Amino acid sequence: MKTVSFSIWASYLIAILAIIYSAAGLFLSNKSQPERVITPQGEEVTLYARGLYRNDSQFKGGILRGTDAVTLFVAVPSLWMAARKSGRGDITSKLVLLGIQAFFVYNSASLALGAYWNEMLLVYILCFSLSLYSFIMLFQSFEMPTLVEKIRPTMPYRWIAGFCAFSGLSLLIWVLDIITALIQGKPPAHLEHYHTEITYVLDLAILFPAVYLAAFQLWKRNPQGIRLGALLLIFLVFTGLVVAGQSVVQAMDGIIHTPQEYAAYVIPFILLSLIALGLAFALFRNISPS
Amino acid sequence: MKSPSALRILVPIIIGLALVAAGGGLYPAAGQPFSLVNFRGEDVTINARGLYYWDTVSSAAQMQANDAVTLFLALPLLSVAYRLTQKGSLRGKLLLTGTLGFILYTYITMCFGAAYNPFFLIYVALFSLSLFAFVLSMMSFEINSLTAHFSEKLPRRWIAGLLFFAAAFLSLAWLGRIAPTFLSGTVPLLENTTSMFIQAMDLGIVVPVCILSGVLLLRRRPWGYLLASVGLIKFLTLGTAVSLMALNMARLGVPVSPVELIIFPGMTLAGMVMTIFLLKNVKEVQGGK
Repeated sequence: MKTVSFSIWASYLIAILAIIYSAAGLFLSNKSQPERVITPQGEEVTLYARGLYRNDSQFKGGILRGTDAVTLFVAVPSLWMAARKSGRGDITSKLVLLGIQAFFVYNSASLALGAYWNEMLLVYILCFSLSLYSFIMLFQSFEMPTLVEKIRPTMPYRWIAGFCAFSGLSLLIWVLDIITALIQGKPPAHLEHYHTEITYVLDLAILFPAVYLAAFQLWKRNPQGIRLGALLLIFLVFTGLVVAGQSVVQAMDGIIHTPQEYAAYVIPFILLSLIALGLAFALFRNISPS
Repeated sequence: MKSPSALRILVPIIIGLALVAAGGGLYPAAGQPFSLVNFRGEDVTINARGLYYWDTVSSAAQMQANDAVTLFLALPLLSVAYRLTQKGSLRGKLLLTGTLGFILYTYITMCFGAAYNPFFLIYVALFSLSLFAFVLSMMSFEINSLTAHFSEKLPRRWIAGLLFFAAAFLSLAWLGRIAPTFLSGTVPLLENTTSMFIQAMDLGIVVPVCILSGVLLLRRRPWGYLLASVGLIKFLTLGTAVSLMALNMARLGVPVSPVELIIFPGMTLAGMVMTIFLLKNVKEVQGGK
């Protein structure tokens, strides 16, 4: 129980830190004009040139602020509510909390390592550290025999397994980007002035294998797959919201993508998020509360 | 002390890919470094040769030193540890987990710290494979009986002291580097990287592990023995890499602080002594597996 109570208190701290950095990212703005710079490779990049993300590109500035909006208005309240309900010993809330904490690990790691240096760096690092260790402890705190007892025989293992395997394919779009760049002998599109692309790293190194591990475990009706599958479904719900938020803020900044780009990078993630929401409900309905 | 069967697949692939990645980094190439002022107004010298073409001379010197340690220390150690683990040795398993920790840390930093290059997918694969191998290896220890495998003579206080010192040193060193960036008009010394990735990794992951393992070891908790063992072995390889990085930078005329030239090698030496004490105080399981 000690590990659960640490994760719950850590959740409140993560929520406070996330309010600070997401509000700063979303609302700080000195209203200057975007400025153009040249990368060492000779590529011209337009900087966002305002607020916390002034050194990020105009393309990524909108992405970061869109994510901040979802973090502030959806993820933080969800984290707070899930932490409160988990404190009362509700197992489905604990699974939801696990998924939301996974979102915060991803979000704070992306900001600490992938956003251009800004004054919030220490807040990002603190939030990353807290959410990572809290996530690990919460994940380990599940007593599998207790969870197994609560799983109803009607649990749609194979539907969720199939969905995990299908949604994992969407991450291959990054491999396509990288291979296209390798064939063309140049850096991937949208690398801009960044040292590397953190989304490729996190999605391909962690998310991709985790999704297929969950699919495998669920297909075999292994209850470990319920823990991993539940957290991934919640994470995917947030991914869809974040992609939608990013596209809205980018559009407000004047960045309108081509229909092909929306079809490849935006709509699939939103659709997957909606299906993930439905399957998350199905999964939680098949876990007995008592 | 059974070892997960997945490690039989993962470890050889990790060894093969790390050979390619480190060999590629060390492969000699001609070129003339050049200076430029980046868009944040910081003077940087671009390496302009080999795999680390778009990294600075300083970053390339560090990555090549790390490549050398990976090739000539970590991979042989990983191979030996893997063989010993297959024979059911607890010492081998501790060495294997610690070395996997080093490979994991190395390729996380390569994913975020090396300027995008054609080996990017290999770095991502190594990050992923070593992460899952490390987790599997950590979870394969019979944690509740682990304390019984360490002799009473284990210098717990010395080991915990070293872990606390490492945590304090890293915190002060990296906070000391971050703090000046808050002064108005200061250009953060990022060279050409996006963020302070080493500081994020060390302050966010390594420092809490050092403190936690030191505290748990002093309290004789099983997780303390495991985390401290893994931490010491990882420090041995990482410390050697960082010491070589500092020496390689000094050799190439890159300014290196005396603190980095003295404290890192000092910590590595202390880590080496503690690792020897630790491994000497492990009681092997009778009958292997």
